[in-house]
Amino acid sequence: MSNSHLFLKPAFITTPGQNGVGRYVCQLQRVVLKFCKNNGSSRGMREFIETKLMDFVKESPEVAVYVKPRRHRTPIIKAEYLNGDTQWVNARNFTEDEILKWLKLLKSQSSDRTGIRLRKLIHTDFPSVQGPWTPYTFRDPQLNKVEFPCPELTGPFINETSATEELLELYKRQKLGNVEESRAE
Amino acid sequence: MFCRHILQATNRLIGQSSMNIQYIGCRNIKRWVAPTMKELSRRRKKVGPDPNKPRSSYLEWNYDVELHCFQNRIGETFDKNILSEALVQREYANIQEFKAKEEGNESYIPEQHNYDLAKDGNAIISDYIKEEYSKNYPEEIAITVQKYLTTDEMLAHIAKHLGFTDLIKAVEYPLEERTLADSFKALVAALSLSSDLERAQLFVKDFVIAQMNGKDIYDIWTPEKPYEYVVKLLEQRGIKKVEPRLCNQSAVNTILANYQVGLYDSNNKSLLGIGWGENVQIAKDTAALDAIQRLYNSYARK
Amino acid sequence: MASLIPKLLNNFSRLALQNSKKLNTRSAQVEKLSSILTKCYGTQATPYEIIDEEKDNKKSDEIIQKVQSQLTESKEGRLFAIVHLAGKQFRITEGDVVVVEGYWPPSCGERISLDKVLLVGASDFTLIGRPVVQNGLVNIEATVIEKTLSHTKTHFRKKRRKQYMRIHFYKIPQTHLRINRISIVGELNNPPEVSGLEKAIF
Repeated sequence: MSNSHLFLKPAFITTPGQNGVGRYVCQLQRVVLKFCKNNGSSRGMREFIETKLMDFVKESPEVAVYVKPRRHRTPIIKAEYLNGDTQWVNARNFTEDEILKWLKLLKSQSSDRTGIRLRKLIHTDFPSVQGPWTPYTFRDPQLNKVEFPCPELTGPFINETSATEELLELYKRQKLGNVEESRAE
Repeated sequence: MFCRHILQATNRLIGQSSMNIQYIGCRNIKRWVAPTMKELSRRRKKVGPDPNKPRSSYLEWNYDVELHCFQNRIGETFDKNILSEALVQREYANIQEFKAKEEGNESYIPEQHNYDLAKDGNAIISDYIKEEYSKNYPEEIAITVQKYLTTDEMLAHIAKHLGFTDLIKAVEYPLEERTLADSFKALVAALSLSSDLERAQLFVKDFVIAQMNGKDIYDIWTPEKPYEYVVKLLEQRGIKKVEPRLCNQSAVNTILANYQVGLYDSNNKSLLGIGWGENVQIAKDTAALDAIQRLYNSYARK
Repeated sequence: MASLIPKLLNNFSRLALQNSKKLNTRSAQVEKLSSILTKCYGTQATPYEIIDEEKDNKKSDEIIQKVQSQLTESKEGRLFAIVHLAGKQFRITEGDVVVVEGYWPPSCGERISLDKVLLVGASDFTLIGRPVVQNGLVNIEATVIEKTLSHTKTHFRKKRRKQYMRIHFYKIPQTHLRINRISIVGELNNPPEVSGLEKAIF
């Protein structure tokens, strides 16, 4: 599936300041809830502030929540992250549940990821533990002693056993006694 | 608009002004709006971009709330006085005092600044890093890592991602790296005072040493002459004779020549290190580095 | 149940023995090249016969002993593992970040242990599970660091010549997971007598 038709910015996974390695730090620094005291589009926001805001604040003591009434303007949720990113969500005609959902999402994010496409779903700094393949990895050291051109090594190895040899082998196998002839798993 | 013109025209023709002119207003974007906006944006661009203002100058700002959230974010509790002390830059405190004197304000209590705390914090951080790395690596590596992690740049980077930029009271804006680094060190000292040294060390481990995640120690530290270093090191561990041998080579006559050299212990013919390079000397050095890495704890095969 | 499959070239050495009689008739150089000549890198399973079971067991016990000694001395170095998460498999080491797509309950900041381990490897050995490595052997800890939504994806439907065209815009929830530690905790070649009953409710 090609991505050339997409106008999204491609990016790899980034974590601001090695977040999970030591302790986890909530990346949302502060949230500003801007709303109008009178306008109908801010009704959900006003209800949210009256009912569910205190619960949200108690659950997340690491986020500073500011409430800013602005007349004759649409309600907005503006989030600021620790890495300096800001993200604003137009909360016009949102219900209080929608606003709570958005706040929870913003709290669990580490930066504004709208318009960014993750190229890979894994990020490693050590892609190889056993050592990447080199042409020398499975190369037999005996090949260092061989004088090229070597006619024996040019073609495939064809193992032609004569009938006498096969009979001898069968006899050897019988002679051994408890022989388990099984195929490799 | 069109209708109004016709009405006016018919009015003139008929010559009666008793006919009511109905002005049909249209709710569209007026003709004068676009040119006005263009002119405004032109003037705005001419003046240049708005200067960045510190967050504390905004209307929605409460310093106490921010401090409280900061403590919760880090997961540590501080004594309020010590914490505010740690976040005040020395120059800022001096200037405030100077201003108060100028104004003749006698009841001004001089603010404590973070100069001494920063020194203490620096000692705590450096000692702990050195201690941690001395467990698995020799002293030289521990010292190199300590220097790398306690640079102003690194500490400023950590501080920014913990939310220090808005909390520090400083003279300059935007904040310098030195200020951020000092405040971070002061915070570590403040933590050791408010709680205990162990918690401060855990804090250093979680935020400063965590920056080594994904970084290879041998990118930060390389011995100057790897082969001699390795020979000395192996002598200490009882391996007296080290033999370098050419294991593989390819494309010898070309620009992209490749030699693989292995270091072997002469006694039991075991492989100590293997490396490759463009010529035999480089390959020998790489093999020596590989041997060093195998001897110290964290070995990652290249 | 886990079992250790050592990297043995026994099969090839036996084949060489069988064929060496034939090769003796050839030149001296060819004899030296026998080890190179008889190597076959096919995908078919090589047939083998167990001639001396005790000797084989002794050999595999030696190898298991070597691995165990490396583990007790903590000389294994960096470990990697293949882990099964939410229907997908990931190759993970310590310190890397994995993104799990779709609905996944663990919330931000929670520390999780990943149990479905299919394979664990170090620089000198690998433990391959069939299909999973035994329960107490490997301990993998991870922390959930982020829960976001993916970029906007489109599902486009069209029925040609019927004036029917729909674009569905959607975003998938994604969870970012940081792998904190991978360690082999249990004892090798010593599986518990009864397994799978830890989560049983009687």
